[in-house]
This record gives sequence, C-alpha cells and structure tokens, in this order.
Amino acid sequence: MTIVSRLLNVGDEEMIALQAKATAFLAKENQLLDAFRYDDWVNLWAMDGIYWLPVERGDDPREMLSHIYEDIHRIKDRVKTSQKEIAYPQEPRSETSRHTSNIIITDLGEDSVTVYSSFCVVEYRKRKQSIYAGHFEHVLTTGDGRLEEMRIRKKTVYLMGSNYPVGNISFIL
Amino acid sequence: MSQSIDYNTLVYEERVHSRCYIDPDIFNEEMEKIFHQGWVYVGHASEVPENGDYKTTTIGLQPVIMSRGQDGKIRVLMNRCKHRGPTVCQFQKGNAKFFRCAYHGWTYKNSGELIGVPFPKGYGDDFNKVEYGLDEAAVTGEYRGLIFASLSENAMPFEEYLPEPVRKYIDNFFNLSPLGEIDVRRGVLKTDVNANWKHQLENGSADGYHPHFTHENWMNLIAERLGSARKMGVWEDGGPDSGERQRYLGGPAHCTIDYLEKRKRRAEREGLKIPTQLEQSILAVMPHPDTKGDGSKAWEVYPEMSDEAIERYIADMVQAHGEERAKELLASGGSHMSIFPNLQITPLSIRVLRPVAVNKTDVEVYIPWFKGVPDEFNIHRMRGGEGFFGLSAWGGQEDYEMFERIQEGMEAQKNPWTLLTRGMNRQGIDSDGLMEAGITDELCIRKIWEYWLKVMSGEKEVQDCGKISSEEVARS
Ligand code: FES
Ligand SMILES: [Fe+2]
Repeated sequence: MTIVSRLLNVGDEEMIALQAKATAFLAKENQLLDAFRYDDWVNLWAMDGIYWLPVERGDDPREMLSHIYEDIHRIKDRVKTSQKEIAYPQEPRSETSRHTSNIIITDLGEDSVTVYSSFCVVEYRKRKQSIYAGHFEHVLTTGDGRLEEMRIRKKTVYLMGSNYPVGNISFIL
Repeated sequence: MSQSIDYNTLVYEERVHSRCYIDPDIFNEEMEKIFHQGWVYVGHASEVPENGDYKTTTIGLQPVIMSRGQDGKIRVLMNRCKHRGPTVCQFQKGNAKFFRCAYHGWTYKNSGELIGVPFPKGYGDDFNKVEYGLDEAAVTGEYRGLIFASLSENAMPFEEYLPEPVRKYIDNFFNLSPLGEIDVRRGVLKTDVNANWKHQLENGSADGYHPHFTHENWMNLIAERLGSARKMGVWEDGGPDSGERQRYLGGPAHCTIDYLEKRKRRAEREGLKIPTQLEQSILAVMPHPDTKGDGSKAWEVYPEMSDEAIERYIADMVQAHGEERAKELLASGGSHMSIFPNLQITPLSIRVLRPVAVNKTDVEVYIPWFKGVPDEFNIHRMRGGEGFFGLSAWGGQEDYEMFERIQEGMEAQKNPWTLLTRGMNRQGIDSDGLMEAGITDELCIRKIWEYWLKVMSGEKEVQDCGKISSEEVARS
C-alpha cells in the first residue's frame, strides 16, 4: 500500500472528489450485495475484472492456492449458481449487513484508482450470526469520470482468519 | 467418562444409532480409542522441506508439532512445555531452530531436546535435562512422504495399518508425477464445519451416491462449461462389474472408489490423454476458447494447456513408468480413497479431518502440485481445487452443508437409526480377495462401522481387521 508520488501531486479538491466517488461506489456495491441484487453487482465489473480472496496475504495466486481467484466469466458463473434453488449452502440465504469504512485512495493509474478500505460483514443464517471482517482493495476504472461509469477491475478481499478454518462463506464477500 | 457404553446395541451391519454422532461421551471415547491410540495422518514431508521447518496440527485433540530437526529428521512432538504445560509453538507453520516456552523460558531444540532451563540452581544437582525434552509420538510411519503417527506404543505395526492395496492406490496418485513426488506446500483451505467428523469420513470414503444430488448445482455448471460435446463422468448406479466400484482395502478401514476399468475403456477409445478425472476439473475451469481476445483475464487466470505441454507430460510419464503403467495411471487420473481415520485423497486434493468436538470438525483441503509436470497443469489443478473446495455455494460447501443438516436432523429420535443397506444385494469379493460393491453403494461405510465397533467396544485394540474372514466370503 504505497502512496505514489503522482497521488501527492493531485490537488486536494480533486482528491476529495475522487474519495467521495470511491466511497459512493463501495456503498453502492454493499447495497447491491446486501439486497442479493447479484446480477446488478456483476454489472459493476469491468470485462478484465479479477476477484481474489487469498489464503495468506502476500501469496502469489499463480504459485499458491486461493479461496477465490476468478476472472469475469467465473464471477458470472458464481452469481448464476448462487441464485439457483439448488444452491444448498445458501438454502436459506444468508442475510448480510456490510459496513465499509476507512476508505482511502492509495494509487492513481492512467484510467483507474486504487481504493483501500476496512470491511465488516455481519451475516445471519439459521440462528447463527457470524462476523467476517478484513480489508478490501478495489482497483476501480474511472471511465469518463462519472460514478456510473466506474467499474471494478480488481477486487481483493483480505479476510481476517482466511488461513484458519473459515465458516460457510457461500454468499458473496 | 460416563459409565461404559454398550456399543453392540448402537451399531449393526445395516444401521447405526445417531447417538454415535451426537453423544459427547462417545466422541471423547473415539478420541481416546481411535485418535490417541491408533494411527493418525499428521502431514506430508514436503510441508517441511528445510531443516527447521515445522507445522502444527493435532492428533485427535492433542496439539503436536511436525518438525524437521537440524539433522533433517522429521519428528512429531507434543506441543506442550514439559515444565507446566503451555504450548511452545504458536504458529500454523514456520521455521524455527528452537521452541522456547514463553512462561519461564525453557528452550527446546527443534528435535525436542531440552537445552535451556533458566535459574537451574532451583532444581538441584540431580536435575537431568535429558528427561525433559518435548514428548514425541510413540511411533511414526512414513509412506511416500505421508507421515503418520500414533501416541500409543501398542498401535498395530505400520505395515499392517497401511497394507499393500492401500499403498497401491496411494501410488496411483503420486505417480501422476513422472518423478513420483508431490509438493503439498501450496496452500490449504480450511473449513470449520459444525458437524461430527464421521460425516466427512463416510462421505469421502466412498459415497458415490450423493454427487448427483448434493452437487447438482456444481455438476450442471460443469456440464455447461464442458459443452454438449462432453459429458461429466457421472457415477452411475451400476454394480461392481460396471467398471466403477468401491473396494474395501483393509488396514483399519481404508476404502477406495475405483473407476479404472471404465476410464480404461474410454482411454482405449480415445487414446492416451491427460488424466481423465483431472481433465474434468481442468476443463471445468478452463475458459471457453471463444473467450480469447474478449478482453477478459480468463487466459491469465487459467493459463493455456498447450498440446505440446500435454504431449511432453505424457512422454515423461511413459518414460518414467513404462507405457502400460502410464496408460493406466493417466486413465485412472489419481485415486479417490480414504485412509482411516483422517486422511482422504481425491484426484485433486489431500483432505485431512480434524475433529474438534462432537459437532465440530475442521476439514483441511490441500491441492498438491505434482513435481516434474508443466506448471500450467498444476495451476489448472489448483484453480480446479478452488473451484470445487473454495468459498462458494457449491462443491465442498455443499458437502459441509449436508453434514450440518445431518447433525441437526439426528436430534429427531423417533427412529434414531440410519440405513446402511445400499448395495448389500450386490457386494462381493473381487479377484484380489477384496470386498467390492457398486460405486453408489454403502459397502465401505458398513466396513468403517464394523471396524469402529470393534475398536470402540474393546473387542479389538486398534488392530487389523482388514483381512476378509472365510465367514465373510461364505456370506457373500
Ligand atoms: S511452563 Fe514452560 S517454562 Fe515454565
Ligand atoms: Fe461431495
């Protein structure tokens, strides 16, 4: 998580505007997922999107097993199967309430912005409440600058305890 | 421990009482009689390749360190300071020359030897450090780097625990590497399952009945990915002569699903190929060719398996194992087996069961890399493993969900019995003298319970009951 010089050269106002946009984007993503609007969630993704949930921070997914390491096609499969009635680990579905905070822009690319945040997902299913927490790193394409044109190019989920036994995470984090 | 339990009233050939899965007293006795007195899988040597490498795990409920000492030898040490009991190692894996207890500073070498006791005057002159090294498992056994241990001196001889038929199926998996070696240090997916450990034991041993239903979502997905040209090799409802069967391998209660004959027939039709079973998982994660150039990262995530790489792999296999054997290995695509009580090998994975409580089990899934095969091949296996066992609403989670439902359902006690009769009408003895039945049958589950009963009722002290009695032969 390095703050590159380009970032430092950006004026305060532009920075604040970007930060606000990224915050709104993450809130929108949370809302869609909490509402099981998975098809709409897929539309937040860029065609070259990568969704990654490593087992250990610093692992190279080409060398080491991940919990999730998927391109857009697999993300679509995930969404499709999750919504089926025969998705037994989600029968009944988990209810979730997601909270993302400490949102900070850590890098600016040519056409993208990297956003680091803390998340806390409270999940409830079959009389059991679980809390999943950690950090997100989103690489968001900035498009023409409008919020509705932003897309996820990469979403990395650093889940606390991901290298210890984890529970039934069959909903989307 | 409670007053003694009459196990003979809980286990019959064709049914088992749900108390065996939900009674904490039975769980405690299982830990004692099966896990603390019998043989248990601990880890693979490739997880601790360098001197000083270690991993921590449990034998039953007891914390242990599998540690490679400075002498290169792997030991299974109890993770407990000999002074007053704290664990001396706090990490799941790592490298350490010494384990130092933080409480009063006693220091042990990674071979277990006690070498440092602060303020020694308080112990007098006759204090002998040699007597206070970390305890070691009573016996250890190793086959192809798989390390087993027992905490009891009275465990059956290792050769008896792991008899020849089991080794043959282990070989089928390892020999998919032309070098005959696997690398297990490629990450592990651990899941916390709220269910008794024996549901995974039964399921992973030989439950060829459930995939069609439990994994319907997953199977539909694969069928779709493979396209209409290819069909997922679904296990069908045939007897042992269908070319797909389960076999009871002896030892304590080791089992396998063997689909070699059927795969061989296919291989004969289609020629030498990358392993059939692996091919399914590989193709299942491979992007469709038409995703090339569509702007997605599909081909980065699942690097292309070139024909050349596949041919090179096949050539290396033929050179390493000879053409006949290579053919057989490639056709079988590894093994699907259970090594009692806590190790299961599937074509993609090494799965380890770690009981935690009567209704709590940690399931660990390793996706080993085969040494001496093209990287793309291993990466595909890894992606395939994630695809099935990773976090999602299918695959491993589907199984775990069923185990949790069983745990819940077993509280209904109007009729507390399970039904284990499936395939009793078509089991038999094969030409090797091993019991066999159809792939969707419950022969192996019955054999597991037969052994379980012997050990738990004290009729046998964790001994071999794997050899088939003449009585059994007569019965079938
Ligand atoms: S308890 Fe370990 S040094 Fe005292
Ligand atoms: Fe399964």
